[in-house]
Amino acid sequence: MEEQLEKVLSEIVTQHDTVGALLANRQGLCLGAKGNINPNVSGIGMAISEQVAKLEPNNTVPATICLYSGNKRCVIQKDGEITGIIYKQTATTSTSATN
Amino acid sequence: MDKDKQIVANQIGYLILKDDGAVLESGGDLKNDERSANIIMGLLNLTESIDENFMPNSSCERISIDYEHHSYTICMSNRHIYIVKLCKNQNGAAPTTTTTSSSSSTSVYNDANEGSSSLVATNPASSTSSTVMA
Repeated sequence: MEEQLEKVLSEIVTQHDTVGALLANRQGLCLGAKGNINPNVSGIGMAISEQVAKLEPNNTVPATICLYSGNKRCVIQKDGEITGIIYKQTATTSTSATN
Repeated sequence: MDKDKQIVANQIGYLILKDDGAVLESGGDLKNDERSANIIMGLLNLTESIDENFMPNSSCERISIDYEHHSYTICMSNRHIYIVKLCKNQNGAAPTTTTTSSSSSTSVYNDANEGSSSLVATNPASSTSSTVMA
């Protein structure tokens, strides 16, 4: 049953700059994780996507949330029952305050 | 017509909050929008501690919330929270194809938008910090 999820996760972690990926269910429980990511992040990731869903409750297309910290990014997207969390890290620091 | 503060060209609304969540300034779509302000404060509280091993606590300097036709960018600087609502369709920024499943969105998702980086550049706190006297 998890084969499909594992396949999708493996596909995600092979993407450019991706460090780890995780899928969470509606209860914030981790359905699967690949790469360098803590499975416990599923709960907080789910809470963040639920909080953002309150911002525009009438919007049917879910938002993509991206948290930036230096050269690291955490991308969260809710799609129906499942929330995806992806950690990304670029090789060079690309902060906007460089110039 | 309101003379709203124009932070970036394709801006359709803005909010400036104190670190306790009090609304200092607002305009456009977000004018007097305390509801959104409260939701964003809740979001900031959640983002304070995601994963200490990946992002140190409270190190998140910017958050973007991306919808199909608009986006929000949230920046923290000088104990203030700057929130800008941006329209995507005005300056040729092609809307992302978010019609399919989550697997496609990971490859298509385009962050690091120029609009939000210029927001930081116009931020008075970041420009003055470079002129600190020895």
